[in-house]
Amino acid sequence: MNFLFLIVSDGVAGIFRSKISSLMTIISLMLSLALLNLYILLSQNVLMKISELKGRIAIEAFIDPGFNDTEIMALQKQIAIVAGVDSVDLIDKAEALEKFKEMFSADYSQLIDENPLPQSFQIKLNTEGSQEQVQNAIDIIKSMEGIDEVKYHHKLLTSLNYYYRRMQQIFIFVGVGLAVLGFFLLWVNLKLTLKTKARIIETMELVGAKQSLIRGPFYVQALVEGTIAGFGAVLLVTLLFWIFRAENLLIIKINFISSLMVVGGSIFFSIFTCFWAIRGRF
Amino acid sequence: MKNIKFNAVSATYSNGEGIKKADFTLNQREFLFLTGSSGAGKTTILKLILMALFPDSGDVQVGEFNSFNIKKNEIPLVRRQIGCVFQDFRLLEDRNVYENIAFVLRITGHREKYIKRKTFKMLAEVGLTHKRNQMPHQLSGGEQQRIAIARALANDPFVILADEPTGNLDAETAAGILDLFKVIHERGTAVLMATHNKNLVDRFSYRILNLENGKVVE
Ligand SMILES: Nc1ncnc2c1ncn2[C@@H]1O[C@H](COP(=O)(O)OP(=O)(O)O)[C@@H](O)[C@H]1O
Ligand SMILES: [Mg+2]
Repeated sequence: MNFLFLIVSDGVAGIFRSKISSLMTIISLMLSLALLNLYILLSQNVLMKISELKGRIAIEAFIDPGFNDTEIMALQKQIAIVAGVDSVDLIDKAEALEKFKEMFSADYSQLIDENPLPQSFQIKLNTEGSQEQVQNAIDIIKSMEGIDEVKYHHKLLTSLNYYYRRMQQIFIFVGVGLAVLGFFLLWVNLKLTLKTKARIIETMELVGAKQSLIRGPFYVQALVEGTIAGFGAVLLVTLLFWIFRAENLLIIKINFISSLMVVGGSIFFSIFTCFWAIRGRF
Repeated sequence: MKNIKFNAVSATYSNGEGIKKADFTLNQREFLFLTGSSGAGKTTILKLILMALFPDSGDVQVGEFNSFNIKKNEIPLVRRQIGCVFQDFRLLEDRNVYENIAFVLRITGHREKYIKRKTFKMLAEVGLTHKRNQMPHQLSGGEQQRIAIARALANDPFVILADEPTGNLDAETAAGILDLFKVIHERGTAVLMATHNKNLVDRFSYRILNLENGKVVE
């Protein structure tokens, strides 16, 4: 009991004794974690948006006008089992006309007696599929008998994939980079405490203090600073969204999981940083 | 029956300086002066007793512990039965006088009630109860050394090691500190005092161990 009291009070006292460097550690750690939290949220949302977009990208495959209904049905089944294909919908002549009207916001049907638009399949592809798989599926469908022409937004798909990858890289790079900077400051702060306390620690050892009592306060200090920074970061991000009323822009809102990741991560890495900072000193 | 025994102890630093073949015993309740010029190896002897330094050959027996086979986690236990007083006082600068004394009682795991009673008793014995809330740097050298002595005695050690305890004090203050050690000794605690001050030693009739270039001469 007394032992624990000594460790905790010593650790807390350590924070107050080096007020300025502790405050700087907490603030920088908090800011970097807040940015990381923002990045987690934004990346969750951007990735969500991208996969949603990818889901909407469909291939249009135009059917040979000579095919009858039974043949078309058979063809539909054949396409449905191609690897990477999620769904196949038949767009008949009437629907095609509707779409055409929508696109050009005009009704040309009076000009021509017969609807000249061909029937087509709207094929949705599995969004998890890689660019190669998508290309493969398209090639297979193209080569099928009864398919006249295949239209697809190749460029859009490729660039979306590119941005998706890029985004992931940037998020990981910047987020982790910032966090590393924050924990480096914590490390410096602990090293500084260790240095200013070196003589006191030596005296403590000489009068019979155990290692746990000497190391314990450092862990308390790291734990307190890491916890404050973690909660502070979550609070800061919540506040930012509230001020800018940005909650509505998000598909995935500020959530328990992302908050837990920030607070838990902060505590875990603070303890780890402490272990690293005081290792081998005694 | 607790004592300290050096058995043919040699301990050298990387530069070749140190202690050579030291053989002596500090008996129970004995007052022993460790003399020798600066650099003779007095502090090294004290470090060996505190197991802050280990012999290259020979062994040091401190109470029930021996340097030869002591485990790392037992070293604090050796130190808790020894009281330490240094030339530069070595108070814990980050806490007040009361907490400095209470510290050694806390690390031994005493109850708060006992700690309070004992700390006040030690403060009274060195006559500094009224300074209990001051920080170490607010005290004079003599007062700091008295607090250091109170801290050294708090855990009822069987021996007090004092390394030039009056080295940083003026003659008058030093005399007061020496009187305090005399009282401590008369109450039954062994004292091993390292000093290079011949005048100081001459004022008492205690046993003297002289160190010359790392060799012990009785
Ligand atoms: N940590 C050390 N490393 C190297 N040499 C040391 C160290 N400590 C002491 N010495 C040397 O050992 C000798 C004895 O030192 P010390 O025991 O401190 O002497 P004293 O306390 O009698 O003045 C000296 O020559 C000193 O320079
Ligand atoms: Mg010395």
